[in-house]
Amino acid sequence: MRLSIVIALLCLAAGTAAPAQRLKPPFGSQVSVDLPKGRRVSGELLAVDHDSIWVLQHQTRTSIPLRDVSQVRVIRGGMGTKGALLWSLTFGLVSGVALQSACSSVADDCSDVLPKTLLIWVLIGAGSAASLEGSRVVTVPAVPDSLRARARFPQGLPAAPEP
Amino acid sequence: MSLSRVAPQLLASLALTSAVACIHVQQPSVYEPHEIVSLDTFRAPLRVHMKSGIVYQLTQWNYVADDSVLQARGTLYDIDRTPVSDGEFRIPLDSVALVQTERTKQLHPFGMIGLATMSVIWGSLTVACTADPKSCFGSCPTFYVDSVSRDRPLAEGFSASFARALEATDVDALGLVRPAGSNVTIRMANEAWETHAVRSVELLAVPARQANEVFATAQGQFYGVTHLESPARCAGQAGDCRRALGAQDSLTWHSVTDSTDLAAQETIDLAFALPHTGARVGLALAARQSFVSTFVLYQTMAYFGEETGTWLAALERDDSLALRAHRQVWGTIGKITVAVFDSIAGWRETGTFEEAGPIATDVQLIPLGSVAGDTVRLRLTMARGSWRIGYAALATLGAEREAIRLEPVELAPRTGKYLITYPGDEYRFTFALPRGAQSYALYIKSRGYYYEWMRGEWLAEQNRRMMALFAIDPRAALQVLAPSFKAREQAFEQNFWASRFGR
Repeated sequence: MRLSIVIALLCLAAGTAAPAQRLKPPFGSQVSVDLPKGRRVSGELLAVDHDSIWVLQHQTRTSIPLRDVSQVRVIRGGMGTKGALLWSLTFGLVSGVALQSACSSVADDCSDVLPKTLLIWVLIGAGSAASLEGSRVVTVPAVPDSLRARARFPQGLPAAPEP
Repeated sequence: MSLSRVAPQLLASLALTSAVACIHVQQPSVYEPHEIVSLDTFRAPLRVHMKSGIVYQLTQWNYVADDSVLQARGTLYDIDRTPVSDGEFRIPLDSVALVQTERTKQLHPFGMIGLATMSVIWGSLTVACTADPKSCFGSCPTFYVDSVSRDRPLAEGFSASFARALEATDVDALGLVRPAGSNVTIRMANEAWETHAVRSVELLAVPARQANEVFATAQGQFYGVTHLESPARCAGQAGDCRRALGAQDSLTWHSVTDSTDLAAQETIDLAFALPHTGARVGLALAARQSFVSTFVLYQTMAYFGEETGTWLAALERDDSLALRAHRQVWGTIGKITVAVFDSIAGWRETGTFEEAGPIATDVQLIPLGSVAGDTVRLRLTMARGSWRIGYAALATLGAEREAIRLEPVELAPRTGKYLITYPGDEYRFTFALPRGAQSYALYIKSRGYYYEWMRGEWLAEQNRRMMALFAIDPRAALQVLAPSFKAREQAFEQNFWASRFGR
């Protein structure tokens, strides 16, 4: 039991430390720009200047006047809702199958072990997802100085970008 | 395993998990080219944005002030962020638009700590249960009162009767019940790979106004109790045990087995203030077995392997060797002996607590007779690590009470003398409670026996040397088994209770 706890902790440490070592291509942050009337534009933050914000959405460059932007939500990286749910479902499925198999070798009526394990892990995943999403996303005011560092072109849009 | 023993390990695991469970978020910052001088000590990767939109992502860099250039190693990306070239670069500062750093910050959100902690605990449990399913999913005949709890068995019937020759009657306390209607339903479940042969199930009801007003002896006598005295002294080998034994709560006293001998004995010394000299008293004791007996039964079957049937048949033929082995093993690990101190005769054995099975705690009264003086000293002797004791009190006995015997008004059909049940079977027995009392102390009285099923994987452990040792010198066999149980002792109970999913 003690050994399995140590192994699990080492795997966890390795898994969470790994992202820090990778060097990704220098794209801009993924952002979600909130506009009036509940509209939203999501994509890569290309550039910001004193009156506009440029977002690359599905290979299309969109220019948005800063005065129309109420707030910008920036994804800072790390695990979010999808990751938490994927982790939970995978863990629940693997451990549920293992526990059901172990149970079936010594006892009867183990049919609910897998569904209950999955249910427990869906609840754990759902509970964790909200907290993780809150840490992963930061809301930034729609002012150039706050957003510039997260853009692909912090110096401003080049003369003829070909995204 | 008591909470105090597990708590440090759990807290250490939790603390360690909290420390390593984190997410990494990026914190970029941009600087004017001339500020590169102040970044000279920043040895992390640097992005150098050129006025044309291309960017260098540098893993190593050095600013040469004399030439006003950055000497660096890294990758050049075009404006689509497609890599253009890798290698060493000399970048004149006057063509740089901005430089950018990106620090990685570790956050420890509650969700990540929760997810990681549950993963570590659940993962460990899964590994332990998969490696040793017997410790997680083993079981015995169990009785439930659904109106009290659907998941917690309140009693185990005839758990020591693992062969027909050992058929026995078992009386187990169910507690005080105030029935909402005139009926009470008991659910009997077969939750393991066992065949149960149930000869009878009766409900014994003793009118009582409050809990602990009536106690039963193992022989089925019921006594009214006028006073309960908690121990003034409780000393085991691990120290003071008054807190664990002083109240009927979830706290239990438990010790670990001897690593060289499962039959090694230990004692608990109790002292009680006697309310009146010459009072007729008894010891009210609540206890259940640990998993030593379950382990010994399973492992004995594994060692006998294909000869298990022969061994059980020998028991049923009253074979002297088989009966002697059984008596020696279960007589050693299956009972708590109670002795009272007498200033003339010294320690005098007055009774035993015998209740098989690790699932449900049973409460029994061991009558001690009339005792003189102002203090009663008792000594409990048992095999080390074989018992969990939750409560001990000196009961001042009143009159013997008569229990009302109730036959089920609704009973599942049966053939022959026994109701035979198989894994997964459940039976509900409904009893009509007599009118006249608002509440009853209820006891389930069951008689029967069961056969544990041989598992395929146990056959691989067949061991003729151990078979012979069990038959000839059972005490020596308990010594041989001790290290094997010791290796899994800590996880056994934890796994068992943590994984009772559908029960």
